[in-house]
Amino acid sequence: MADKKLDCRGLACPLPVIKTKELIDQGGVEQITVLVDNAAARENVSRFLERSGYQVQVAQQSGTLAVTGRRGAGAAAARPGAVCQPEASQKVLVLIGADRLGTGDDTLGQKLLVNFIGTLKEMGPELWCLVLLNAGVKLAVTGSGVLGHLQELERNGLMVLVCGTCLNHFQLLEQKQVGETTNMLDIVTHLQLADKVIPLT
Amino acid sequence: MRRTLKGRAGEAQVGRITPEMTVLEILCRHRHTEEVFRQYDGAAVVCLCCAALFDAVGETARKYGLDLQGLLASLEKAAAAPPDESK
Repeated sequence: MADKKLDCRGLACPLPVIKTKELIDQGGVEQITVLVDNAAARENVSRFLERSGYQVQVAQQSGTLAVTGRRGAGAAAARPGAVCQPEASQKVLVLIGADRLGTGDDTLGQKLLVNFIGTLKEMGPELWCLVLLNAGVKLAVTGSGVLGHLQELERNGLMVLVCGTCLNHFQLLEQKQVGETTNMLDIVTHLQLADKVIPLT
Repeated sequence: MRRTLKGRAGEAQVGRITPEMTVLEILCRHRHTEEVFRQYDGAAVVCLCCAALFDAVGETARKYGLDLQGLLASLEKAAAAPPDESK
């Protein structure tokens, strides 16, 4: 298992993230610890590692913040709260490419999708990422019947990615109320990182 | 073998910078565009490389009231220019 260390103290954003990325891009990094000394770097390195499939812990020691990312077999044991919370044995990504579920009757399809989103939480911690694209982005905007469910899922740690091109196409960029606007490169990367993809398109 | 972000944003590529690209993606492809983002920090009243690193540049412009077309043009110009090795 490759355990890498990186000292980014004294470096301003975006350098800590770029250096972290360069190290990870070398491949085979199961654990990485990045030392930073400011909140922005801690936040961005943590976020980058999480987006890259690592489970992240931050420790502080006399002004130095140690951001540690782990993935693979060692990750579950190192995760905070492991004693009392069920661990995710896999990362599930749900890809929603429509604003209704199934074909036959659109009104029924919309109701089914509301029900589906409301039931997603039953997947527990394995539900890792939700990607909304094409008409699926309408679920993330003002007036959506599932907005409350999505916001609750996001508050509980679900990564919600909303296709920026699609929002732009439907002229809904300003109405987005949940999730992170993203692009196809990010979506493809998350599809790669997921252990299981459930497509609803 | 599972890849993460390897071989994508870090690769130097010539191509248009679009509003859907994230600030990080642009910085990784064209490292010397950092100076452009720094120039817009004042107008945004935040450090864009800190606060908007993972956001699409189009959304960032809207969020902070920046001139998107001007920003894109400046980024494209910086991306097209060879990096100054003396810096």
